[in-house]
Amino acid sequence: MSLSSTRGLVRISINPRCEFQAAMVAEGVREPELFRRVTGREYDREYGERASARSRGAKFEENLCMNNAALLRSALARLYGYNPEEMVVRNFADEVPGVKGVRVIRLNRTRQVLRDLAAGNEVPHLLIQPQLSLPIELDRSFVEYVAPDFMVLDGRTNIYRPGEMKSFIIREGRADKADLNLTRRQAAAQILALRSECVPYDLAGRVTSAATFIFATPYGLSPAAPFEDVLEGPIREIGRAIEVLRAARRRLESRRQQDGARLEMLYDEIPVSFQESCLGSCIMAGECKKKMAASGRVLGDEIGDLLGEEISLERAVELLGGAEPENPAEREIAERLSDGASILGSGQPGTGRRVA
Amino acid sequence: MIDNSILTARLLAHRDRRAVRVRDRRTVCDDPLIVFGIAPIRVVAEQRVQAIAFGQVGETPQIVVSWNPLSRESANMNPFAEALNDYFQTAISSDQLPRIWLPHPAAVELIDILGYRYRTNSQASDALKRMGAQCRAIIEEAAYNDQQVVMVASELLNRHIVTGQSGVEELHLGALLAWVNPPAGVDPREEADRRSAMPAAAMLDWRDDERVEELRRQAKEESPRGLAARSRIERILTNGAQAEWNLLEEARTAFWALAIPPVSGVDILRSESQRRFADALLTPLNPPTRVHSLGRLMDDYELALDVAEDREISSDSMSRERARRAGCVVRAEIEQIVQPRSSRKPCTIKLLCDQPVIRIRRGTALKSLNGRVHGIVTDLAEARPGLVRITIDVTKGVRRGDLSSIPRNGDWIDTIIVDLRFRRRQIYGRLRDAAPAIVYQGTLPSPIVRQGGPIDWISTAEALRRS
Repeated sequence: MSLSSTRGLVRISINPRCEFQAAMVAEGVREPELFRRVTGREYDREYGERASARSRGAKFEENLCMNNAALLRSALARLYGYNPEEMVVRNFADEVPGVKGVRVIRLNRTRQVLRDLAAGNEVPHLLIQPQLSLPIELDRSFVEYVAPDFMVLDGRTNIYRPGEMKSFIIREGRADKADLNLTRRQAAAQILALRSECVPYDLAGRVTSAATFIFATPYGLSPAAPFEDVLEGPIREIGRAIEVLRAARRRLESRRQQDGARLEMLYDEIPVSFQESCLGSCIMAGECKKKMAASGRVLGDEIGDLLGEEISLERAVELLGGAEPENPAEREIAERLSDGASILGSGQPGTGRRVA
Repeated sequence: MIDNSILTARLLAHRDRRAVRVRDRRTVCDDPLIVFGIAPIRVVAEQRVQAIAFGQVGETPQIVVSWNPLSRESANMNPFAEALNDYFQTAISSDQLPRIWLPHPAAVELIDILGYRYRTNSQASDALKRMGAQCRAIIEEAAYNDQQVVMVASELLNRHIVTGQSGVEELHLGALLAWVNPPAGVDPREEADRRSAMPAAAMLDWRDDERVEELRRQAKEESPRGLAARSRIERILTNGAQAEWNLLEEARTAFWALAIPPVSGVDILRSESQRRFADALLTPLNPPTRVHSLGRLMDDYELALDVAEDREISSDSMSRERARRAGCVVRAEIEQIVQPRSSRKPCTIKLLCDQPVIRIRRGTALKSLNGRVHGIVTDLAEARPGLVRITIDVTKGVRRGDLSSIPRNGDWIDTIIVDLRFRRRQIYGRLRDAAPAIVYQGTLPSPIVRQGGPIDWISTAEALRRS
């Protein structure tokens, strides 16, 4: 699985301070491959989506899209005031099947639909697997391809609205926060891409900040009622991720002007920003944690932010043991540690109630 | 911002390579003689149970597995349904607290989904429907802060200890236990890292999971190869469920080995939780959906939250110290007790407090740490720079014995429990009977047609400001 398109932007949006991750996205690397090149060994832990999750996701989408998207039409018709029997569907996955080399064809067809919409011609109510592009460089010399699961024509604004189908379970109208977080960011990238695609046809102003989501019920693969979500926050974060990616590309280019070094050779040179959220999401997290072993960051984001780069973990431990603070920042930490020790019951820094 | 005690504890744990206690009292009572453990394994993403280890904690568990959990066949769940029901029936009939141990929140989520799927499922057997209702009762009880029935091992441990790893890493029960019980001579950081490679979230190891996925295709064949595949799947699932059960047992043992004493009044928490849970089992109700019933539920949750907080602040000195730094507990010296007639109201206590942070106002209810004297703050004034005089009108505990029981220098806490549920329920009852459209109808009533001409809101505001 390569770290490009929406997946890469979502990752950057979660940790925009990590320059190395942005460089990984700029390169579109395959993470296990990069890990092997950096460390010289294979990644032996769990990576990527499990086969069971992949097959469930694929089955869920297949169910919704079969028979001219009967289930999807019926779910969306209620929300958008259509008669499901009268909805016109274009399924680009059927029209242009395949994975590789189909993006440009699907993109051209999606653009033709947008052109028709701008011209006031009849357009389909539902597009399945449309293709959009999101410019990273302002002159469109570098774009990320973004493919919403579907786009539905919203009659209120007369523009398409991107949508995602996920097999995550909804109970009592609630989805899991972590599932929703990634999906919302994914949809935010689609909204930005749709806006960008709509610019030539003067339709961008109609694209709102909302996307449509369809998740599964706890009973098998049947879809729960779809809902719309306004994504102002994630849109801002993805916008920021685009800027970070653009800057990372420039810096990577300038670093390479000297010796054309490969990305793995630059791992020690390009700054990383290790965070708690890296664990379980980035394949390099373990290596970055080792790199940051001297920093308070290994004890969590809050302690990392508190100690900053000025106070190392070793120095914080010395302060805990009663070392004399040497500057105002250290004094503040020493006071906090002294206070913390008194709460823990010892009254003196350097001791505490241990488990055993 | 991170609490100073947690910051210190984390650095201490990092330095000493051992977990550090951050509470000196527990809000859970001792385990009853027999406790029931549940360690499920799910199909990832599907959230369906494909194996469960269950039974009396401390004994060998019973394990049920399903090689094809996506089928409509659910008879394999019957032994679990029977065992759970037997346990609850025995506990209730012998007036014992039923107690369920689960390894981590992922297991709780699966119990929730079991309840959701089976409670009202017309296709399910009566035993499974009953199991669904019991799972629902477990989840409902788990939502109360003062409850004593559902013990989630990783949450319990994380509440009482801090390790030398990050908060995210502590969510992994195996990694957490590496800091509580590190093997001799092994750095817990390395041990935690090693253990975190195996999932502790009610799922198989990813290699086993891939193997099972592959075998499932063969297992559908009605042939010796199919039979062999089924048997291999069942073996993998049994081992996976056993591993989760072992983790649960290790976590429970580790928690009790902390030897943290209970808060005072824990027996009251136990009997209230036992009564509430027994009611839920005997008369299972649909989850509330209407305003009056939701209001009642929120009030119950709020009261449970207040009770748990009060017990903790009153008994646990570390929690009380944290609350004191937040200004919700004041350590003060009694300056004067004004009581014209002994053991009679009115009675006023004047306290002097030099705490930098005081988060109390006129009208705040305070009580002495031993709970014998309660009062309302009637005045706060600076006695001299850095010293605040707090005047309390005593509402309870005016007798000489009560007043003399409070130390001259002591803590006053703001966790007085006010149970307004009876009064609120009267309001909810009226609300239900009147059923006003603005509360109960999906659409709002028609707007009221204004009499007279359009209103100039700016001049109206000006007029109001002048009046």
